[in-house]
Amino acid sequence: MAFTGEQALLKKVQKGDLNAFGLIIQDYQSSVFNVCYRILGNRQEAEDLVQEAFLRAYQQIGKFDLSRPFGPWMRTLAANLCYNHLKRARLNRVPLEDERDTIKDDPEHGPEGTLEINQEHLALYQAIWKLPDIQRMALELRHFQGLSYQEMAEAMKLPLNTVRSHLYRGRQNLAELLEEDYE
Amino acid sequence: MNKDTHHISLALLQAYLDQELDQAEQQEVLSHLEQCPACQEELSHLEDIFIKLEHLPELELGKDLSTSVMAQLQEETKSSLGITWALVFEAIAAGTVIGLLIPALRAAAWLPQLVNTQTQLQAGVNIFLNQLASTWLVWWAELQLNIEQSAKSFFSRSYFPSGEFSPWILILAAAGIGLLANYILLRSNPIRSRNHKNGI
Repeated sequence: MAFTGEQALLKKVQKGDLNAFGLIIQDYQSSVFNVCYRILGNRQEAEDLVQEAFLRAYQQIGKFDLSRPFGPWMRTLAANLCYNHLKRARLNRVPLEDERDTIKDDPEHGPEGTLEINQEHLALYQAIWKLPDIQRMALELRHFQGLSYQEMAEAMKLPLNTVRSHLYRGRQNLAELLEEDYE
Repeated sequence: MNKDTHHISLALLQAYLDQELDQAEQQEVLSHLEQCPACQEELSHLEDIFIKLEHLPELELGKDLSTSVMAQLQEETKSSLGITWALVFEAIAAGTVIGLLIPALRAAAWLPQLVNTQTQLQAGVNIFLNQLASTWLVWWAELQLNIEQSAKSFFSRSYFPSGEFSPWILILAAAGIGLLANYILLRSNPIRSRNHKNGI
C-alpha cells in the first residue's frame, strides 16, 4: 500500500513519533479551532478544547484507519468533545450563554481584524450560538463536516430518527432566528 | 407528503436537500415541486440556510497551539512511562506474593501432618544438639585439663596458686594477637593507602 505524505506522517504518529504529530497539529489546528468555536462560541474555551482534542486524538490514533481521511475524523472527535463539554457544563450550571463571544467586540477578529466578517455572517454566528446545543451539534456535523444521517447518528451515539429530528429543528430555528434579526 | 394540504413536509424537503431520500421518494418530491409554487418557495428558504451555512467564513486561530500540545504530550509520556514501570514492579511483586501464597495455601491442607513431622524433627534436632553440647563440654574439659597440665609443667607451681587455669585467658590472648596482627597487616595494605590518598 502506497502512502501519501500525510498517511506516512500518520503512520509515524501511530508508531509514537511525537514530532510527526506536531506537524499534523500545525496542519489541522485552524480547522479544528473553527469547529470548537462554532460549537462553544467562546475563543478561550475553543482554544483549550482544541488542545484537548489533539491530546485525545494522539491517545486514540492507534484506532485510526489510515485508508480514511484524517480531517473529518479529527474534526468529528473535536465536535464531540465540545458537545460533551457543553453537556457537562450545563449539568454543573456554568452560565455558558453569558460567556459567548460577540466577534465584533473582539478586535482581533472583528471587521477590522485579520478576517473580513460582514453583518450577515455576524448574525449567522450569533444565531448558531443561540440554538440548543444538540441542534448546533447536528448542524455542525451535517453542514460543516458533511456527515450523512447515519454517520451523524454514530458520532452522536443517538438513534437516526432523533438525530434527523434535531437537524431539522435546528435549521427551522436558525431560519426563524435570522428572520427575527432582519425584522 | 402532507395529505391535508398536499404540500411536502419540511422534514421531507430537508431530507431531499440532504440527498438522503431513495430514488422513488426523490422523484416524488421533484414531481410535486414542479407543480407547487408554495413548496418551491419553502425549498428556496431552506436552500438559503444551506447556502449561508456553506459560505460562513472560518476565523483565524492567530496562534500556534502545537507547542503547547506537544509539551503536554511529552509530560504525559514521561508520567505514563513512570506509571508503566510502577505497574511492572507491582505486577512482579504481586506475582511473587501469589507465587508464594499459592504453595502456602496448598500446603495448608498438609499442615496437621506437617506439625507432627515438625514435632518429630524438632525432637530429633534436640537430641542431636544435646549430644553435640555434651561432646563439646567433654572436649572443652579435656582441653582445659591438657592446657593446665602443659602450663603447669612449663611454669613453676607458684604462678598458679589456686591450681586453676582458665582457657579464657588463652582465648583472650589469641584474640589480642589476632587484632594486633590484623592492625599491622591493614596498615601496610597498598590498596588502603591508595584509597586514602585519593580521599576514599
